[in-house]
Amino acid sequence: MKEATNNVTDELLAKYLLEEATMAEVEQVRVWLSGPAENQRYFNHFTLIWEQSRELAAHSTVDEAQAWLRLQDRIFAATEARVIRMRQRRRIVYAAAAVLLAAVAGGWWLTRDSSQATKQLALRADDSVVKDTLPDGSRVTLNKHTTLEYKGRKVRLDGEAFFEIAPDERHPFEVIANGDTVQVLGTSFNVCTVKWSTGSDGMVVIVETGSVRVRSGSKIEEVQPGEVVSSDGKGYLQKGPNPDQLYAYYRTHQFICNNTPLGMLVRKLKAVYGIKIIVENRELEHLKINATFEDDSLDQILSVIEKTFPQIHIERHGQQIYIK
Amino acid sequence: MEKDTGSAEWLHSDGTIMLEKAFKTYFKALHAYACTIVKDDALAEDIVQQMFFKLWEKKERITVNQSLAAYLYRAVYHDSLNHLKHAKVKQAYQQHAVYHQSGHTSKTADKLLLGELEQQLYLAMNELPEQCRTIFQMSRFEMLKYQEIADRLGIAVKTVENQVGKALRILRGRLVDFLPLLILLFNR
Repeated sequence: MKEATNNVTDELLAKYLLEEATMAEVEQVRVWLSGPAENQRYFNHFTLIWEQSRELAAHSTVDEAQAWLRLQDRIFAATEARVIRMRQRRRIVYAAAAVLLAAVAGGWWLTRDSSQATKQLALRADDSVVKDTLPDGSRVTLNKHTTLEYKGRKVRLDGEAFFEIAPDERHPFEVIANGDTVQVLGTSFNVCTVKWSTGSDGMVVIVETGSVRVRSGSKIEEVQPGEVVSSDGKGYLQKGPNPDQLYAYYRTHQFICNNTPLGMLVRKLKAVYGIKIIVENRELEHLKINATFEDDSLDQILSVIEKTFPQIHIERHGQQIYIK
Repeated sequence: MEKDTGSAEWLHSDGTIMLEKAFKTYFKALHAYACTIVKDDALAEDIVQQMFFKLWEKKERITVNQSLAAYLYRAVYHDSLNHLKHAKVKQAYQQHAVYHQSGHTSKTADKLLLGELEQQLYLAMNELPEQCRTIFQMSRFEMLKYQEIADRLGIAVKTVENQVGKALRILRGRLVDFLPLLILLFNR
């Protein structure tokens, strides 16, 4: 720099100004500043620019947690858009089929009715939860890694989904999963396909409103709100009261515990946060919790657990959590 | 702030980015950065969101050996300036119209001059090269020490020193015509 002589460079002046300079450098700059008036003026310019530029600072008043939710919405919408695109392609095929039928049958009403009855679509959720409305007006929420095929009020499910069924008494809605069937008229319920430790494939059905009829082989059970039924795909059904609301997390983003054993909550937290949680004393798993966690961080939830049970001590080592 | 040893710590084993962690760590700083360039809160958020969205779509690849912070700041810098460039024609017209409609000459000379310096400084800062701008911004607005900036961007402290000096030199060069008058104003 022409103006910055005596080995005093702009870098050094900046360090001096920003209080990053060493003692020796400070001394060097002071000597330089006591030189020609030109030097002092040059440095004043730096000071002025530095001071004035603060006026241009912007401070983000946006809450990052809220912003994160907005990004998730955006990603969610993009996932939905992909599913819809897939469906629209199929619709074109059916539209073509419908036109063909119209030519054959010679009546618009007939073709419209038949296309409605046989309307098909496939939904798939990969890394995020997908919500959609089925052609009959029923609404469905697919958990991650779930596929669903719909054809005329019959769906085939692999994974987990929550259904809110549009009532239609003449056409019962059916969910078929691993060979078992859930039959409904109009209600809301959750279906999850499972692989039991015995090796057989089955499903778990939890009813929220209305009632459903679950069929496995020749066995049939009516399931009421608040009840859960498990099947093994081979004609075995077991019904009982639903012990927890944790299954709804993927849809509601709430961990609802009503007298829920700690062990169940821990299993859910492990699945949701993809983290290792070790309960060192197995008896602690049977402690009952009453709490609803909504949008809380894992640390907040753990801290509530720790405060609720004086006998519990929680330690966190990186990605591993110990409950003692 | 921990030393940034490259992006490896921000990547899942399958090479996709830990989106939530990255977002929650850097959103505020990046949003403020975009704000200083585009001067619009909502627009700045949109720019940052769009950038993370592209990361999620995996359209933008980041490599393991570059600093994630450096990557994110660079992306925000370019996206924000691109936005300004596109808005420029429209804006130029609007400013022209405002200038001719408003009775801005009634303002006092002092205020005008200060406002003008701010405006000139803003324009001059937008002309700084990317790394220079980012480092100046982190130093000035995020109040980070040289060592912290170096750690975050995965560069040498010496580079930070050079870039801050360079920023002040460039800004002074662009503003030198305004400065003597201002010193008078400040000193009286």
